[in-house]
Amino acid sequence: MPVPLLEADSLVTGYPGRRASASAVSTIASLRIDPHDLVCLLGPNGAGKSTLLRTLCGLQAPLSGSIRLGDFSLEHMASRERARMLTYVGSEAAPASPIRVHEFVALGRYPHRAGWSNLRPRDHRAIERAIEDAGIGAMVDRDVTRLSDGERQRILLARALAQEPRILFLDEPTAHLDIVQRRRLASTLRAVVAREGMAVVASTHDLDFALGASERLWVLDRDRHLCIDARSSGLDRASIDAAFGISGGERGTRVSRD
Amino acid sequence: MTAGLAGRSASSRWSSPAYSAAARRRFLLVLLCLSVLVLLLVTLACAYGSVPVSLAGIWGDDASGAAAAQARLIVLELRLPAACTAALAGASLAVSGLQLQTYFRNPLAGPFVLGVDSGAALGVALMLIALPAALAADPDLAMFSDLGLSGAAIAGAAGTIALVLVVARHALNDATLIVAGLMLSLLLASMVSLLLHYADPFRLQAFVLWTFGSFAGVPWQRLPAYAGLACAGLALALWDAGGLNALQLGPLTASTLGVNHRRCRRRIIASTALLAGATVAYCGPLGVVGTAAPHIARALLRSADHRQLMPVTAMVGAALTLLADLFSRLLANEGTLPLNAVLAILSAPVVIAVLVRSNRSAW
Repeated sequence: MPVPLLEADSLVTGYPGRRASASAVSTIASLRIDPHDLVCLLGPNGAGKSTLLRTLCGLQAPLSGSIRLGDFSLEHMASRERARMLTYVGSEAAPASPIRVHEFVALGRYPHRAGWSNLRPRDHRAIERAIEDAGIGAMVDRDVTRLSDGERQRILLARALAQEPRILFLDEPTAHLDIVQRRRLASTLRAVVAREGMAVVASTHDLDFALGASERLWVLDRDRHLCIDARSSGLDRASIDAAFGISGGERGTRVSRD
Repeated sequence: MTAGLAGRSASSRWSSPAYSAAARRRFLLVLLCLSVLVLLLVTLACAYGSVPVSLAGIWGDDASGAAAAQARLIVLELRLPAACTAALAGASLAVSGLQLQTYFRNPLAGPFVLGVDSGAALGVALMLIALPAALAADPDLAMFSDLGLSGAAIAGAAGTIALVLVVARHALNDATLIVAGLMLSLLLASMVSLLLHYADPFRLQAFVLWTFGSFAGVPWQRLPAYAGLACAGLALALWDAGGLNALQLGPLTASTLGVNHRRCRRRIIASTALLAGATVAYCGPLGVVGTAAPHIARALLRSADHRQLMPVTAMVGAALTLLADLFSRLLANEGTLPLNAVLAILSAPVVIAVLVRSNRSAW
C-alpha cells in the first residue's frame, strides 16, 4: 500500500448548530486518498457531497472525527500551508469584477508567493502548464466575467491546477460541460494524476463520466453514509441504484432520461 | 500597448512571463502619467483662486516687497495645504471605495453607498452637539476637539461598516446589500437631521458648512494629525492588497487560496474606517469619489491586481478631488461652490458610464 495523502476516521460532516442538535450531514467510518487517485464521488442531491469535499479540504470543520495529511492534522494547519496541499473548486469561484484569464489563473500561485513578490519562473511554468492542461490557451486575454459557463469551468480548473495542490477537490466539474468537454476533462484529469502524483476527488451526477474517468468511486447514499468505496471495475449497477434509492421499476425511466 | 499583444508577439505561443512584464509596464506608465497629472493639478490649485497670484513672482528675482510676501502667504499657507489635503482626501476615499467594492464584490459599493459617510457624519454631529462650547472655542484646545471629531467620525464609520457586514451576511444577493446600505445611509442621515434640531444655531451653521465639504479647513497645524490617520489607513490597505486579490473571488475561494478571511476582514474594516472616517471628519462627506475612482483605475489599468490597482486608484481619487476643488473655486462668483456637489457632478456620470459600458463590452 502506498503512503496515503489523506486519511480520515469516524468523520461526521455538517454544520454546527446553536442547540445541541447540530445538523450532521454525513457520516464516514474511514476513508483514504492515495497519490495518483482519481476518485469520483456520487450521490443523490442533498446527500452531502459538497459538504464532504469542503470538509476534507479544510474549508469547514468536521463535527467530529479526524482528518490527517501525512503526519499533520488538518485542523492545526495554517491556512496558507493547507492551500499549498489542498484546493477546492466549487461553483462559487467566479469573480464579480473584470479580471483576465491569465491573471485569474495566476491567482492560483497565491499560497506559494510572498505578498509583494513578482511571479517567479517557477510560478510562470505552473501557470503555463495549467493553462495548457485546461486547454484555455486561446482565451488568456479574455475577461473571465464574460465567458460562457462551460468556458468558466475550465478557467476554474486551470486556477486550481496552477495552485499545484497534492489533492484537488472538484465540486461538480462536469456541470455546464458538453459531451466533448466532459471527455476532455476526464482525459485531462487522468493525465494530471498520472503525471504529478497528485490526487483528484470530483463529485458528479454524471455516472458515465464517473465510470469512464475514474478507477475509484465513492457513493454517498440517501442515508448519508459513505456506503461504497470501490474500484469501479468491481462495482455493479445494482448497488449504485440501491444507494440512490432507485427501485427496479424506476430504473428504466432514469436511465433513459440521463 | 495591450498586455495581450505583447504576450503573443514574444513567440507564436502565448507566454506567461511576457504577459506579466507587459502588465507591469502598463502599470508603471499609468502610474507615471497620473503622478504628473496630480502634480500639475497641485500646481494649478496653488496658482489659481479668488486672488490672482503669479507663482513665478514668488520665487523670481524681484520676490521681495509686500506684494510678493502676501502672494507667498496665500500660496504657502492657504492653497498648498488645501491642495495637499485634497489629494490625501481623494486618495483615502478612493482606496476605501476600492476595498469595499472588492470585499463586497459589488461595483456599486463605496463609503457613500454603504452609509459609511453618513455613519461618520453622525459621529461628527454628535460631537458638535455634545462638545462643551468652551473646548471648541479655545484655540489651545482645538487639537483635542479635532481629535474628538475625527475619533467620533472614525467610530461612526467603523460602526456602520460592522452593521453593513451583519446585513451582508444575511443578504441574499448584491442588490439586497446595496438597498440595505442605502437605507442605512438614509437612516443615519435622518438621525443627523433630528439631532441638529437640538443644536444651537451657531453649531448648526458650522455643521451645514461642513456638509458642503472643504479642503480649506486643514491648515498646516491640523494637517499632520489628518495625514497621520490617512496614511495609517493607506498603509493598512496596501498591506492587504494581496489578500484582496484572493478575496475578489469570494470568501470561500479566498480561503482555498490560503487567505485568513476573518483576519483580512478585520484589517479591511479598520483601514476603511480610518480612511473614510478621518477624511469625512476633516473635509466633509465626500464619499462619492470612492465609488467612481476605482472604476476609472480599473479601466486605465485593465488589471485586477490590487497591488497595482491600489496606488493607481489613490492617484485617480487625488486627481478627481483636486479637479473638483479647482472647479469649485474657479467657477464661483465669489468664495467657493459646494465641493461635494462639484465632486458628485464629476463622479456620478463616471459610475453610470461604467455600469452601462460593463453591460456591453469588457472594460
